[in-house]
Amino acid sequence: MKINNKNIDYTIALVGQPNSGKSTLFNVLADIKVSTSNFSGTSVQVSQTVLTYGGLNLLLVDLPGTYSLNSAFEYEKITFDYLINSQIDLIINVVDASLLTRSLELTVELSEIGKQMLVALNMYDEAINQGIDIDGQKLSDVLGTDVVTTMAIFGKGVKELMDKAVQNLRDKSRRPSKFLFTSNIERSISSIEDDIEPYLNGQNEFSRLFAIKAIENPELLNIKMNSQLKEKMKIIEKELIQDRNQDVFEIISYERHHIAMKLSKQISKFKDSRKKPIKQKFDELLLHPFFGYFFLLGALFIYFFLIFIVGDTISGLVETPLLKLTELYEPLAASSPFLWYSLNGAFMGVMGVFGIVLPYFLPLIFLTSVYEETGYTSRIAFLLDGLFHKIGLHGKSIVPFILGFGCTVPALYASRIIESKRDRMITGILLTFIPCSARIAVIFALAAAFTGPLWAMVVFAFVLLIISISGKALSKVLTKPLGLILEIPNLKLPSLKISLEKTWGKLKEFMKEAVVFLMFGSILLGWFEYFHLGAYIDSIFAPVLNNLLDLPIELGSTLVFGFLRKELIIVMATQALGVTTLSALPMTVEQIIVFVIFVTLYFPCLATFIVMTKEFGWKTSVFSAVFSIAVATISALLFKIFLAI
Amino acid sequence: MNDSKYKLIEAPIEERLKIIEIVAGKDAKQRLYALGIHIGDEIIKLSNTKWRPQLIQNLSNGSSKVAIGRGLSEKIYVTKSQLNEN
Repeated sequence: MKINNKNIDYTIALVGQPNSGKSTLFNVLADIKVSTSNFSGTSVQVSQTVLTYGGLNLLLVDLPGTYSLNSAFEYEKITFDYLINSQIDLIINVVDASLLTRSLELTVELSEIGKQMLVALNMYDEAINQGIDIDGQKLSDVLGTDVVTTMAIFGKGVKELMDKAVQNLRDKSRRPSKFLFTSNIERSISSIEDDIEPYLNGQNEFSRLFAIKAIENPELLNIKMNSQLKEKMKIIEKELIQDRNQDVFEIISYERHHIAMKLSKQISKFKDSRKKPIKQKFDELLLHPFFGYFFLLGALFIYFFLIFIVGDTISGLVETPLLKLTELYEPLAASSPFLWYSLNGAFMGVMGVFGIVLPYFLPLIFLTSVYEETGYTSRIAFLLDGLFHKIGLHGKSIVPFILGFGCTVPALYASRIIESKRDRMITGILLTFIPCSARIAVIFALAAAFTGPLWAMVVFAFVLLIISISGKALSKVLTKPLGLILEIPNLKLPSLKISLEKTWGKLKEFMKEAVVFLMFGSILLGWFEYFHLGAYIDSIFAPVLNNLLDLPIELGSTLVFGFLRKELIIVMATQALGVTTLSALPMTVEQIIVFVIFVTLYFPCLATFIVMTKEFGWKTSVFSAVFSIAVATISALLFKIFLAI
Repeated sequence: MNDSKYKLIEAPIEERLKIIEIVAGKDAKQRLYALGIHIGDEIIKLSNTKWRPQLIQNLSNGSSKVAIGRGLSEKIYVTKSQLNEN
């Protein structure tokens, strides 16, 4: 169902720092709706739902978690852009009560927007356990907003929160307190508020916010200031730097930090407990320089074992009955072959989704969600950061890397846990080199028939070498990454319900976006086959395959069909070379090794290309395809030369 | 009182430390500030393993643990807090 704006009375945005329980609250709220439609927003990170509460139709928007509105990360900027460009009637600021002081820095920053605001003091139980005693009424008084204590994971306080939200929306009179900076900053803000008005597109309520951001982080506003204002800004910047001996963005950040500290002192008491909670002791073990790695091995083993076992079982269960369906259109092969090739193409696309990708994708997204909920993903990144640093990446790349041995597609999705766009892109490009289960099958089948297992090991070792060299090379070319600054959130018990809901959301997104493309791509390849384009394809690849690598010319079209499904390569190769068994292939052991190296390293498959385009844009996917083919060609050539010697 | 100035990477563990200088670039500073880490804050370093990032906890704002890469830990200067002697 499409959301009709006419039916929406008010829009509420949920804003909070990462791990504040914001998405949990969103899911709980989405559950209390009367009439609803869950759908993905304009961005993958924005979830929306419509709920009817207190007689009002409310559009609830879950914005990406952000520590500050001045974030250096792309996906966190979405929150600021949404807040100033969309019609929002109420902000619900989700505050992690156990991290009160730090969370209040964002609250102070949000109050600068000047919109109606409501504070959900979430994880209140956690705060009590940590000895933090918060006076909610006092906080409400100083913030000038209603404050509701919640424990979203148990659904506690959620009804009260919605009651207050409706009350605020109806009343419309409450605005958050204005927290003043020191006098010289306030003077600077006032002096440009009028000048900034032409850039507000009529939203004059944002004049203070825009004036503050123009001083501390003008790039965020995306406006072209006139020369007069630019000159004024330069003078302000010079004066503030002279006065405080700090950059302007630092000056304002320090002011907010102090305001938040002062607020926190005013409204909370801390009772220091000498006794370490069990959770903290357990966390010390998880992060221990020695024992931490035992837990890590165990956690990774459970993760991948479950994904492979569950994936393999579902794949086995689904593939056989699905393949039986081909019998339904088999008669068409003789009567109308064009239709048969089209249908078969579409069917192979569907098979790819339900038989290969989904069986691994489902347990992957569920388990990733569980691990993320507990806070263990950040601990994995911390433990493995040193190792990944050697190839120019950070520890978070481990999860997609190991998943790549199953299937590249879910591995690409798993790369979303990496915040930095640069690191995500390098991880995505390197993922194409990791042999997925289909390529592993090809390696082992050909190795078993021709070379023996030792060569299979050589291939794997070579792939690791290629990944290290490519990673190092790519990280040298792309801008230097920001050093690792990673929050290790407090450990939490995962909620099965929330993890299942998240899995369902991601599954729908995948089905909507990837399946159609895969089907059309497969139909296209079916037509290639129908029109006997194989010979043309062979001739296109001949200069590389035949002249350079000394491989049979007929393998050209095999590689193109391998782009659809890599495990088809074995069948296609035997068909193309006119033999019935693999061991009868008219190729030497050297040719087989060169072929295996090429097949392992060249771009995985159509599904990977489509998902990579969706996740990183077409420029990256085209670059990755060209890069991988170049690496595959050079590597195969090196092996050919080496084997000849 | 101890006035010795250390790079975070060289600072002792399990002692109250005060951040006195951050000489990193704008993006890194912004990220640190967003995570509630500022000059003047009292922190405790929890681990000092050679092959891993530095693990700290901000005591001034009771924040959660933060891992800071080894490169960046060379650019953050700390001193032992006077509260250690109280």
